[in-house]
Amino acid sequence: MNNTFNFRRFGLLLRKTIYEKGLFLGGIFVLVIVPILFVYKQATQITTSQSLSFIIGLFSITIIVNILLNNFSKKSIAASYLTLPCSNFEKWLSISVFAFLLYLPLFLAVLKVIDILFLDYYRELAVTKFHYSAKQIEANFPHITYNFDEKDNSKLIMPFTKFMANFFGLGGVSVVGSLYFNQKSYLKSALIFLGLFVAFSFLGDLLFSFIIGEKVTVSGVFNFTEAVVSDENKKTYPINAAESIENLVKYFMMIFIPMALWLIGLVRFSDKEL
Amino acid sequence: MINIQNLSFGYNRNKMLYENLSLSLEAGSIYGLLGKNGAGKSTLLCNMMGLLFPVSGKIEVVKHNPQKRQPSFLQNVYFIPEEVAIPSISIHTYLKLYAPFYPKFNEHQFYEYLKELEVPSDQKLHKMSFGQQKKAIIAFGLACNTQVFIMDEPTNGLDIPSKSQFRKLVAAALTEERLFIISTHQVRDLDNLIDQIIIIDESEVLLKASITNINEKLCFKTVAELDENVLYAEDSLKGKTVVAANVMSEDSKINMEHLFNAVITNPNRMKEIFK
Repeated sequence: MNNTFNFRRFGLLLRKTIYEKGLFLGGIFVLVIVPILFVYKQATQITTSQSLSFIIGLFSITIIVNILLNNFSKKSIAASYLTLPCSNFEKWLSISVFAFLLYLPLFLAVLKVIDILFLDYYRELAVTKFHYSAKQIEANFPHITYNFDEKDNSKLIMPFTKFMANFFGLGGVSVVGSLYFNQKSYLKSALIFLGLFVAFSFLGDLLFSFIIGEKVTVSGVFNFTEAVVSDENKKTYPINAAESIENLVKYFMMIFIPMALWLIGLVRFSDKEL
Repeated sequence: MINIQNLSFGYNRNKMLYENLSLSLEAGSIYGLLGKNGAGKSTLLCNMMGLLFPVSGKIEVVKHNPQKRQPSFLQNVYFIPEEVAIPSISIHTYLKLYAPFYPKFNEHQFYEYLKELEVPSDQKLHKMSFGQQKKAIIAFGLACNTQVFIMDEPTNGLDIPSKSQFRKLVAAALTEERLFIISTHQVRDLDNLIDQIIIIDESEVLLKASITNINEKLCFKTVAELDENVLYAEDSLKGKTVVAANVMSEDSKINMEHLFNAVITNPNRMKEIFK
């Protein structure tokens, strides 16, 4: 018998999860779509709505993972889950499949439909009600819908690649948090993440100021490649890391750390006790 | 079938619950694991199931290391904790979702057990009373036909007729290849059911013996006067009910509660008698 992976067993596990948690997950999905519709409805800038929708999507993955792994708050549920005849790898993989193969495509597809419909509506409105010229239309609505190519979305606070990396990373944070904390895991993981966020935003500036010897303001939290240096005369100079370093840091932050978090989750599944 | 060698376990490394515990359990028996509240019965069962990991020592259950929680191990063992996990689904759906994980599951047996335990099979599990839920899970566990079936306080929440029905079903389900472990602090619930008794207290196995062995070495009777063979005595209407060393090879019926008290109050003498 294959004790690591078996298609039949894995299928049974997915089916069981859908039966037991499908309704709840569906409810969360609806709750995620509602604020997105609201954001599009209230749009002043379509790019802001698109960015906000992605941020809502990031928030939602943490909830989805938490629901999928909400098996350890009660000992009886934890015992039932841990003694279910499936391998630790299958249990871990089922969470990944739900997050990346079911939830992510569904979220992006629904977001795309919402985006197309609203953009179409706003274009229509611009022509019929506000009598925009073709040039104005082109300037305000350069695409029929949101384009997943980053270079076409330079105006977005949350471009698609950044969304994907954060989705992967925050999913990983939630997996690790849910497996480390039995009680109030969502709250505890959120607090730790928030703590890291605050620490990095202060420590980054302090650390770089100490190294360079001038006042340095790092451009954003978890950004290690761009900063602004202020000299004694309060004159500011933007500085960037070399492209090779920038790429290295980018891949480290966007691929290595999220992947490491998911792998820690897999290891934690094997170590998990009641 | 279950081998525990030099098991040490503690929730806190400074205060160990078990140190160098060794135990061997064979198939074809129903073991009663008895102990006071907080004696570590559930902890021992969780170690056997791979839900808690020993600090040192070795546990082998159906030739597997439980700690790895491999599917080939998990489909051969079934564990009912004191409080059962009940999803918000019907019994039929529960069967559809959980039974395929256990290759030896017998659906016909399951419905028979439900009938015997008077559990309606058309209800939603979460809408049942605690006792009914527990009976449904016991029926499911029995129908899984796993080699090892471990139950932690299974009779908690069961009414009197259900307790006797439970004893009947478990006794009928035992085969030469299966091993049942039932842990409880309500020792009377296991009357006429178990054929092996394990009594633990203060991190130690005080007694591990078969019912036959206990009958040979101890006798349970009512006396007017206490003598040096008496290990435990309790006042009763007819005199004193005692547990005594069976020096005269008398036949008697085991009183589980008295046996338990005798072992707890006289652990050293018991060890001498059963060594």
